[in-house]
Amino acid sequence: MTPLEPDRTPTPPAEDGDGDGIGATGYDLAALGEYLDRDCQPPIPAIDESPECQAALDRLRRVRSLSRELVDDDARQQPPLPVEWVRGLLAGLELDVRAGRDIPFGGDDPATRLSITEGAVREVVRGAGDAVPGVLVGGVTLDGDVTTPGAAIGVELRISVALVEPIPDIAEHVRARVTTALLSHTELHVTRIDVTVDDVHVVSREETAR
Amino acid sequence: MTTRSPAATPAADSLEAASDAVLAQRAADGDTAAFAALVTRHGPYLRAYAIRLTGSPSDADDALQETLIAAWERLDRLENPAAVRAWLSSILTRKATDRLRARRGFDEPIGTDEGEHEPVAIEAGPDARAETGSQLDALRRALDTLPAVERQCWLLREVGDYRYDEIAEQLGVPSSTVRGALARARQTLLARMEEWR
Amino acid sequence: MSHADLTALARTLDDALAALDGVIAVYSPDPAVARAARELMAGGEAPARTRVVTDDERLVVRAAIGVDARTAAPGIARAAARTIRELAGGDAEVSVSVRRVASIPPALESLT
Repeated sequence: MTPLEPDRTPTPPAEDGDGDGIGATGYDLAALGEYLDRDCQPPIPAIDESPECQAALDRLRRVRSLSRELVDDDARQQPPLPVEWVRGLLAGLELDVRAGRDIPFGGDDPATRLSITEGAVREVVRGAGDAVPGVLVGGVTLDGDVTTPGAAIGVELRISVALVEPIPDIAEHVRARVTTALLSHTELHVTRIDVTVDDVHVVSREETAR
Repeated sequence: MTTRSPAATPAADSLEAASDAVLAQRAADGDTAAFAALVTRHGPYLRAYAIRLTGSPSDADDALQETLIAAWERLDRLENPAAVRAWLSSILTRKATDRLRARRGFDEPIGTDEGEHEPVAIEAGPDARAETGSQLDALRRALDTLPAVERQCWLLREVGDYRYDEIAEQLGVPSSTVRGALARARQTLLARMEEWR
Repeated sequence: MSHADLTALARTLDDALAALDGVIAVYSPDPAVARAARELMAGGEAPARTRVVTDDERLVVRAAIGVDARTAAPGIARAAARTIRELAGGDAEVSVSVRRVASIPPALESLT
């Protein structure tokens, strides 16, 4: 990359003005900053053992953590994003990126081709799992050659649960609902439904009402 | 034959309370409601960071929009769904610094304020006592006095956690410029924070 | 059939599909193409979503739909294909792709 101005070697002034660096160690603030940026590795005893350097490093650490707090604070002072802006953003999203493979429906008319997308089937699975009280479905994976009718297909769901029931019972309910939903909406030959509980969440009002 | 399969969409408050990992996984599978929940949750932080970085609310909004559109397309490639905020921040940093580089053009010297937007809010000068006495406000004031490139380097290093060479690449300047800018920024900020103690 | 006829048929199909029980949305089978067409028309009438072209005198119809999860998707797809044949003729080549299976209408997304 061509520099747009001559390379400038940093010439930061020594903090105490006598040219000896901080605490007469010979290390100035710029050097301490770079030492901190390297996580103080490899250790430099002259710095590590100098109280003035340690004090300066603490101040640098303090300003660093304040900077992070500052952006968090800025964020808290931000108004929420306008609903219309979010709506507009969603409307512009390319939904097709999630379509995935075309999963055929059977038929005997060669001039008619019917199919459902993988994305739609994931949505079916997600909807079925979500319908179980206390369950929020995370990721769904379809394993196997969905484009070949009759091929053995495995379904994997990762779920987040509220402990409204013992986990094995919850998993069983999820499997049952997913089985029914897939029978209804697809012609897949599902041989396996794996349910993995990823985390536990707080029960929402909506979930207790079901 | 129709089958009644009671499909349910989670209530908005379920999604609002869901973890980043769950939302990111659902969004990666195509759930726009989950994506909307992520946008609502992380949008203000991303916007605040973009404003600090670019100094321009309208540039920040553009960068944010581009980030979210790109994020939607790439979500299925996110390996660690729980780390979605950091991932969004890194896309945003790229979009924001793209704008900074484009703004600068090829003929303007680095480190001057010409062609750079002024920071969003310039509060009272360094001699005024900070009204609230809050250290955060002191830092805010101090940051606002920095020349743009020093502020950008500072944010990318201290908040973004980028290495010098990454900052250099993002801003389109030599590494030595980044190190010099950081050294001057540290000097200024520490001095001003002292004044306002 | 003229281009205008094909467009008219496509719009008729859009309406007929949308009116079917269980269909909650009619999509463009090629969103990228549709978007390009939209940009060309910029401000004019939105293009029809269902794609109708001719291939050697034969009509080729491609449709993409979103369905309500409370009704089985294969049945809706078959009903859609029948509807298309009623309007496009028995000779037509028909494909119907189910893109969404939702429990609420996709209120937050554009159908174009």
